[in-house]
Amino acid sequence: MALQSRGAPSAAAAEPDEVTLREFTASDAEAFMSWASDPRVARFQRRDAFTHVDQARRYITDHVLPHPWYRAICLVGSDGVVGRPWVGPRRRLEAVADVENPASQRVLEKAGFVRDSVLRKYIMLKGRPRDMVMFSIVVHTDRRRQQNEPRGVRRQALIY
Amino acid sequence: MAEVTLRRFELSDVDAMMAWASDPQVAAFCRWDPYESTEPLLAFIRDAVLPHPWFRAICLAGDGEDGRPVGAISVTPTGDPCRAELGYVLARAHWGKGVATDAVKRTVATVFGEVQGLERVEALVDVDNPASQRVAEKAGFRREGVLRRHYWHKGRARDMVMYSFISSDPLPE
Repeated sequence: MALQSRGAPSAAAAEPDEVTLREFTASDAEAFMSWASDPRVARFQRRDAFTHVDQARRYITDHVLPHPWYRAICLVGSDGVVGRPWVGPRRRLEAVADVENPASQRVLEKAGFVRDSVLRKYIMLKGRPRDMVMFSIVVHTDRRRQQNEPRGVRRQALIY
Repeated sequence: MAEVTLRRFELSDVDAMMAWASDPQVAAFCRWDPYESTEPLLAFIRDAVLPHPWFRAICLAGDGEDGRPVGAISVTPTGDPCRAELGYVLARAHWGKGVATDAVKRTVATVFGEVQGLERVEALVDVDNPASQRVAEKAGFRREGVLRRHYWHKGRARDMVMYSFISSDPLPE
């Protein structure tokens, strides 16, 4: 899971505002642009920065709203959305972060993800294969399920 | 030792393929259950193997071998054009002789030149399958780590060892 937000506090900042998550709506397109149009945010993402709010509207309609789990990050007391994580359900959450993106790696570590390994030339980003650090959180580690589970789908929360 | 060669499969290979596809010991770490008849196996060759971008029969020639397939090796695209996943399976009669290792070496020696944009071939091997781990290691793959509960296999979540071979890695002797 890669959180990209222009307003990320520095290491020496005061206590962060309270963060809440909610589902996106089509009317969040303008707020979406606040990070999606920022090249510094898009640097470690597969896509280039958006240049027009219509791109954000289309992205919300085509990708975000149908997604099984995709949430808006909101700061309590502020008037809108500042970012978004997205994950899918299952017993292992994994996330990859570019080896040259230590800020994103710290987000994952502070959220309790465990660093698995460095995967060489794992993902193509803007035309170049990138080494990625793989992180994971494993749930129900000590429980063996008795009933037949459907064929597991491992969800990879990519920088997309 | 008989020489290992790789070639494309044909429908007529179904009987040779049954030798490993019906073997529960071979199927133990594979995604599929052992086949009980050739009809579904023929459908698998027709629908999955023949259209596959890179799927080869492992054949042995010389030294008393008749050249028929004794296993299969494949390099399957993922969601990323730079990365593909290696899979290999071998009939039990030929385990322990370096056949799979040789087939993997031949694969990494040619596949990067044959698949445009490919930079990384990865292999995920069950932590409880040391023989297959040794195949990857002897073929020059680098062990990158263990991905915990990475793969849901036949009713259980499995830890998998991740191996990779990058296009610039040195080919093993």
